[in-house]
Amino acid sequence: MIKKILVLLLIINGVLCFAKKNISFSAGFNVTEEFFTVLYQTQYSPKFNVRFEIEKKFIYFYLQHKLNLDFSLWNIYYKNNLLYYTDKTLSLDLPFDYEFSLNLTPIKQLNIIFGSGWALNLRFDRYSKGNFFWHSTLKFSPHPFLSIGIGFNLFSRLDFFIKDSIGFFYSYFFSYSKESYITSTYCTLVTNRFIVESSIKIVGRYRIYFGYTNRIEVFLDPSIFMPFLGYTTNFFYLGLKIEI
Amino acid sequence: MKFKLLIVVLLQIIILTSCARFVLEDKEFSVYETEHFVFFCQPDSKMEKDIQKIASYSEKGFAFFNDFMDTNINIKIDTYLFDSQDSTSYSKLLKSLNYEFDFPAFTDLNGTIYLCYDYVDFDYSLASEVVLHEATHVIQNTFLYIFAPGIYEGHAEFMELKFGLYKNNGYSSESTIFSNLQPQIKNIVLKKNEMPSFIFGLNFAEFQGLSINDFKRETGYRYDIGASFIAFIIDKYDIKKLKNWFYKTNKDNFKQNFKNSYGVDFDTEEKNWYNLLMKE
Repeated sequence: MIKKILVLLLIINGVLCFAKKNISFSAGFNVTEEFFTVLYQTQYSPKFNVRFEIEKKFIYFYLQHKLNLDFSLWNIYYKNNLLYYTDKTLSLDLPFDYEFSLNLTPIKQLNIIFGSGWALNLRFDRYSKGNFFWHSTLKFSPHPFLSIGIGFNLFSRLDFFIKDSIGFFYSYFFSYSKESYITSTYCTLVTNRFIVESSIKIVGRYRIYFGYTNRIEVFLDPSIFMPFLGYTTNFFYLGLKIEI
Repeated sequence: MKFKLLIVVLLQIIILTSCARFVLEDKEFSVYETEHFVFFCQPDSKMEKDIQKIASYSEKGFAFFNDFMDTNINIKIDTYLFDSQDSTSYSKLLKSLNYEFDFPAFTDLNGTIYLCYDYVDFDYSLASEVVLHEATHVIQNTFLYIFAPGIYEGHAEFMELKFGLYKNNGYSSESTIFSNLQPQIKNIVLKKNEMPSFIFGLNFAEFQGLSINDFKRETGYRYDIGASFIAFIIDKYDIKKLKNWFYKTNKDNFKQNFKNSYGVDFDTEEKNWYNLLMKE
């Protein structure tokens, strides 16, 4: 058994040694909407993304491992035309995911993406409750997801793909009053992520890419008597991809 | 049920692919701010016409709470006011999916209050009592850390009734609240044996009698039974002991916390309450 694992690791290592590796950095503009029975928070914030990809090409397909981390920290939000900007308001959005995908390439200009992976969406919000108090929630949502997408390669320099991922699992909520822990609960999470992205080879190992990601997280829990509570985030970004 | 919800949500995702503002209220609110509340109501609604009166009475209710509970709580609570459940887009959305939505007043996880005006027959004075009921929940979650649904509803109902009596008569006593509730709950306690110890040990869905298939709820007289027991205890002991009992109480430890605070068994006091309730 141990020998088999070692051989497998050796093969994977051998494959990865000759694989193409990319690291990408992007920055962009993010719009988050938090909703419950009403839409009670709209936030416009800067957001950053780091991505690491390992890609191994074969004749009619290629395999891809992808690590993806988004980061956004902001303390201004809107609620019904009112701007909330205090030393207590704060939002941290930190989704992280790993995806393994099989990309079929029946012709050179086309690839069909089938992926799956695990994501961990971490979101912390601190809301002001007057001048002296604040309330915080931490949402911890680990979940598996499945992806499907399609990509095109045009004029050998331009890549374009559309991908959609759906995840389903549990989400854990932790509530705090000021800094004191109040309670925690869990509920069912349904999430969807839709990505449209394009990249252009500029020179040598460098590509510029830009895109749009829409992520929806819906939390379902009859025990808190509201059928759904959730977020949508829309991230528009521009970045640089480097082959290493 | 969850499967049905999942299908519905996925359909929405496919159709809408984002943007909550398309399906929920966003910028259509008039805002009215007071010392302890930020009220949001829809323009040209009955609520908007009465907002100043509701706000003024709600502030009186908040001051009444601080005075009665011997606290000095200074907090600002977001309060969304609608004319009816039908005027909320959330309710419309649920109805279009064949779900009942029978929560005319509630407080959400983030301590935001929602109230529908038709629940109190468009009476601004009654509306302020309900606002105090819900504000009591925010205070319970923020300062008292009560996590026993039966206790926090009983306490909030008690505060609502007490403020109502005070507002109308200039004074209110625990024994009056107890006597007013007695005829309604006596038979229920006898027939269904819904004693406070049973009610205080329920979780949220159990307490609300929530049917997860359609979100219909059947609470019976649980709010009133809880309020009656709280009135009985406050009448007998110091308010400080009540706060000690409430602090970090949940549905599992409420009896132990009660004994720690009052030095008497919960069951003993429950028996005393029962005997008083059954008195003619």
